[in-house]
Amino acid sequence: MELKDFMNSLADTPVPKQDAEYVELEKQYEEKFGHIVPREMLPPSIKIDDIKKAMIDCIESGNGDILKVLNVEINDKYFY
Amino acid sequence: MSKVNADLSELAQTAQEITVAVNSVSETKTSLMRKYQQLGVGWKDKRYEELGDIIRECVRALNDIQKNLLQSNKFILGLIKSIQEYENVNISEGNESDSSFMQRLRNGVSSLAGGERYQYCLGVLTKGHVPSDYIEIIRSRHDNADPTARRVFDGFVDKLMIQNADYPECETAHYSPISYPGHSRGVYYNAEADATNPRGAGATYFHELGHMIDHASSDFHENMSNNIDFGRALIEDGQNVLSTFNNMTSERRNNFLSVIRQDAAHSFSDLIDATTNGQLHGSYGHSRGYWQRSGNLQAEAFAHFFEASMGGGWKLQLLSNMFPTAFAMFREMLESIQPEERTRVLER
Repeated sequence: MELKDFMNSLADTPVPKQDAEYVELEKQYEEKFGHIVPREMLPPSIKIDDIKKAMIDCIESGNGDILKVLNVEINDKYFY
Repeated sequence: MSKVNADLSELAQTAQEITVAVNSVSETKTSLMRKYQQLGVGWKDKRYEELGDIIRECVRALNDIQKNLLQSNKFILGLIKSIQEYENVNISEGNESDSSFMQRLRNGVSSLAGGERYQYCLGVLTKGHVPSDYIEIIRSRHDNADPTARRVFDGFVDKLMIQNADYPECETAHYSPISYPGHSRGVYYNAEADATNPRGAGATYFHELGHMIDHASSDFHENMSNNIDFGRALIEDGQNVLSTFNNMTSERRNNFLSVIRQDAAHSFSDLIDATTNGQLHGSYGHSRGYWQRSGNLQAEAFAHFFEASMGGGWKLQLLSNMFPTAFAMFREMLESIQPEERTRVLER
């Protein structure tokens, strides 16, 4: 299937319910810091509500280092 | 009475002694460096530098020793497991059904002094607790995997290692390609959390082992995925998606974004975020700093493609259609892998 057709077929599927608050916070976070939350690097203990709180903290403080706010340590030598 | 000419308790004792030796080597290295640094207070001449060269040479030698000890321990633990499996076979009584016998082999547990627990999951030596219902989840994904990906997985099981399946939930799952004292090469993740992973049960297991297979395919020298053409293909595919997205109607763009924000689209979100420098994304990604490390884009693509190929369901369709050129190259990489043929006495 051509890429355009495949993407259109995805776009035409019923839209799943979104967490509107999360989406809005993510937009604000991205506008302020230029990137999204690196959720692929977060541990399983961190839930959606934790991320929302952390995004609010970052937006209000102006500090975009959300990994630090969430106390997540990353090692440059590992693959995540 | 043991049925083989090997004493299980002696092997366990040896494994324990090797662990003690590894820790001792680690302490020695730390002590050497600390004392050298202490001497450096007020002493910084040519002789001090020469001493530093000698110390660093000693530390390198100790690193080699430690590496050999860790490797030996892995083989000893494998031997212990094989002997236990062998000693569990009881042909003369014949009361046991085939299915429970194979089930015990697959879920066989070896306990060593110090309470460390090892077992084999899908043939991968695993340290830590793995719930039995989780094993069924990953087995089901394995059975429904793309045949080529499954062949590669099965061919590499002897080289793969889950160093900790009980990794704290507050720590991020990862593959460590290098061994450090107290943190050997292998996968660290939480199996129980992966059973209810919003990105798909078993996603972390196959993703992290995908990283390890990428590395193991060159005998742990470098990642097979780390080539310029693969990186270029990923970026070109990503840019094609972005261009197509930008030409959609506004309504379709909004709907498309909603679709890729789903947890199940995490791997597509990650790769499209990386290859469009954030212009298009869902809700998942890695940090900007992570993408700046050379080879990381290709490594993540390999791991995502591999995880999707191991019974990942809709993800496989999504990634293969959105990144067709890169995915085809990934398939070629898999097909080119010919893991060493091994004779297996027992199915794992």
